[in-house]
Amino acid sequence: MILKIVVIALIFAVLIIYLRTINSELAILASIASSVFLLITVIDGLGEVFSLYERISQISSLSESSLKIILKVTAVSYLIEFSASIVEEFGLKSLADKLVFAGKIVIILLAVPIIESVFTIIEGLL
Amino acid sequence: MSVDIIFKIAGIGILLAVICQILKKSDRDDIATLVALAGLIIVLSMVISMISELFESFKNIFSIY
Repeated sequence: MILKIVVIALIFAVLIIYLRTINSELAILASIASSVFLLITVIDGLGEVFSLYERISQISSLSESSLKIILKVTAVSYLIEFSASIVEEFGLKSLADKLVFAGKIVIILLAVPIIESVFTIIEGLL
Repeated sequence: MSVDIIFKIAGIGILLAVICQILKKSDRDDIATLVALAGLIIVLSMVISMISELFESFKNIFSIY
């Protein structure tokens, strides 16, 4: 499985370099397409991970809402990482950093209810 | 969603390069730019459809939207 991905990535790299020598802007599009393709082949396996999350949450007293927040945070982080690397491919380093920064803010916003529940638990202990 | 999409893009890129060279040599530069633009738009639509498929699989895996 992993060997297939490595070989495919190498073939894509050779093709993109070749497109770059023709210096057409298709090289950037080809690199985006190859990164999307690699992600699609790998993302399918993620479904089992999240079904495992659900089983763990049933066993432990983890509430359903915090599981949903965990799912959202991982989704946001994957998307931000993916799009930031594409923007960096264009050479816009500063824009990629802004994107990562915005992603962090979104994640903090998502985590607010968990932080509140932690504080209520601490208050209960005192 | 197989590997041939990248070979399609590479093929279009090579074809475009050749066609533009031919058009430039026969001093029809405006048509060359048009052909280049057309090829770019075709590849762009393919890439966009791939990205939408990726976001679709994102949605039903994370089941958030």
